[in-house]
Amino acid sequence: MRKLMQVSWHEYWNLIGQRSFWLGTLGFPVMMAVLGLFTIVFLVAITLLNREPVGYVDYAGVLNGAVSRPESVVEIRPYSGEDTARQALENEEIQAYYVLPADYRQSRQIDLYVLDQPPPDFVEDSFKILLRSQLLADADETTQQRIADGADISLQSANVNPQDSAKTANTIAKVGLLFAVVFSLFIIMADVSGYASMIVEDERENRTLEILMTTLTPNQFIMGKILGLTGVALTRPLVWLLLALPFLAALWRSLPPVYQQAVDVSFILIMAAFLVPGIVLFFGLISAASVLIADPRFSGQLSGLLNMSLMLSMFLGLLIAMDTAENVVIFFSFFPLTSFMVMPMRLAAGDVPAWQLAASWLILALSAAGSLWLAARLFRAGRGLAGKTITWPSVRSRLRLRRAR
Amino acid sequence: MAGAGGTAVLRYTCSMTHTEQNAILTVSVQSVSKRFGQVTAVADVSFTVGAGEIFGLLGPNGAGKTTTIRMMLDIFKPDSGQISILGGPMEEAKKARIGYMPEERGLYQEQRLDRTLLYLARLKGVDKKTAQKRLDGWLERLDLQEQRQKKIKTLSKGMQQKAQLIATLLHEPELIVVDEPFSGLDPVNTRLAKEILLERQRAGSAIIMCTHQMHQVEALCHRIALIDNGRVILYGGVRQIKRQFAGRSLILQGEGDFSQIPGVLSQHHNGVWHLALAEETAPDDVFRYLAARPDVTIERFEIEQPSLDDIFVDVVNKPQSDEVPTNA
Repeated sequence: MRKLMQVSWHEYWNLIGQRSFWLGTLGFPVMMAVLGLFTIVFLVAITLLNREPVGYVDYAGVLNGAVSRPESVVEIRPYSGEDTARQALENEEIQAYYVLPADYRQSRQIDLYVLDQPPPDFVEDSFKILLRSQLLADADETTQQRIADGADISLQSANVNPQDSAKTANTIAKVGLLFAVVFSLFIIMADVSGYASMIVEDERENRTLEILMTTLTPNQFIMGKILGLTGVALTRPLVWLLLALPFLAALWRSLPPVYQQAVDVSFILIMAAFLVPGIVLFFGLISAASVLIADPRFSGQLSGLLNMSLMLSMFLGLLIAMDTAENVVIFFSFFPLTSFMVMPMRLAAGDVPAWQLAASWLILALSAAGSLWLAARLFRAGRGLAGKTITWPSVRSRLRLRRAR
Repeated sequence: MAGAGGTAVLRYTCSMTHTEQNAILTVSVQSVSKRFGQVTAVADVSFTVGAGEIFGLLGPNGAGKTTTIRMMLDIFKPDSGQISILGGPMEEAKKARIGYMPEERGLYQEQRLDRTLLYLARLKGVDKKTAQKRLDGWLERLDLQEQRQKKIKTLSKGMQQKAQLIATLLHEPELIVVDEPFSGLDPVNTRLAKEILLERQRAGSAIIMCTHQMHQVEALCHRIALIDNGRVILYGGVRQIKRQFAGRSLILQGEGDFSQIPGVLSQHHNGVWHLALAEETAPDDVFRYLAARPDVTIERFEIEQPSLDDIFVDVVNKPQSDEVPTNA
């Protein structure tokens, strides 16, 4: 056990200490931040570029020569007639002008005149604010404010069960959490294929395999490496989670209390309990394959196939949401390549019998352990097959031989 | 040398040395064979190595040396035969008592030198504090102190070789297996590496050394086994083997003309006569003949011993005949 932990610790810190890991880990949030910043800059630039004044001609007598408020992002100028407004437009003193016809109060129609393109939304919004304030000039300040704020309608059913409401919030919270996990899983699995192919290949490249074989058992070697790599695969989303904490804290504060209360710690723990053996299972299977076939492309292809189980899990998630195909969903919540996703999904959507939860986890954990055993066994056999064409009968005979000894 | 029917084997044997007779056996390889498909990599190989002994495992490329070592170290299982390491079958606990420098040098190229060496020592069961202390001493001694924080890939070939030597010895193993330990080392570092191996030998470690540098074998090894085509064809003490192959030539120094000795082809060079004896001529015959001649004075009469290099080439190139060991 000591050696196994030393191998996993060494593997973990070796990869965590590499520049490429941090470039990949920090690259994503940095890219998102840059993208966000770029969007803000773009919007600000558009605002600044479109700050030329707009004009209006008021035949309806609604605006009464009002000009834009000091806080308005764009200046609004009154014109006595369309000719002068048009002249100003052609001289590019204004970017557009509105005409309120004499029957505006009845028709609610306004004409907009521009040279080529309509002004951006915020210009129109500024004009609307001015118009509303003038239309409500006679109303009291509270009414003015309420109408300016717009509608905020909350519909409530008279016969709703408070427990149902909490349950719905609980499900939404869980599904939201699951989606975050699924997103992380796709990224983790992309890493897994790369890391898994390194398990043996890295030692082969460094020519340390022979030294390690005279120091460790195949189990210590394979399991230690997979444990370390599982840690690495989980570290990346963990770093993202830490970086996103301020944002998540703000999001948490903005959530209605019913959603805040819906976050279930036991669900998070169960999800983690399924997630870890799920990752180990993937690592074990890809490692076993990469031990047999020393070609990183193969493990990449295999991980592509395994990723299909994630896609399948997503599809099953839809079935769960639609409350259909119950038997199919139950089957895949026990199938180890999908159970680590499907079972938490079932749990998020409703109640799952305790025995099903326990049985599913047990099958998953045993499968993960089995994949590790298989990888270690093939590794030991594979050393004897080094340099040979590997065929299924040769591997089978090797495995039998080891068992006999 | 004796012949017998059966498989085509040529085997020279010598009587056991004092060391072999009395030492505790660290390694015992008995009639070990290994096949890979249709190819016989090792056939009926036997030898022993005692504590405090430096043993040379020699042979041309592809002879089966590495396969033999890998079977010894439990990397491969032998198809037949018995291997005893450190007093019994190979066990996981014994791995910590073995230091192995394989033919293919290997350290983690992207990692720092000190971290790699500490990691390998810790895997061998050395506690962190002791490993650190020993490492400081080794780095100082092998002049790698300034390189300790550098990535291994930035080190020169010679430095990497020294680092590999440290990785092999840091846990103070009882059995040391080194394959071409002087490869890539300059004469100064070669001498240092030899000193280190001799120190470990004096401390009681058994050392198995594979090398093609025969002068190093002569300088260091007590006994050797020469493997060719998977079979041991020469096995015994270095001195005995050299003595066994000696006798066909003499070195003479003295006054007089040594050119007309019956049954001898002589050659004079820088005041030293090299005499090649005919098949039917024995050194004793020459000595008696010269002692009876009043016109010559003998200052040096020496049976010329061939170098291990010559023996190696001679034995490996000789057509193989049937031979059975008489004594090992």
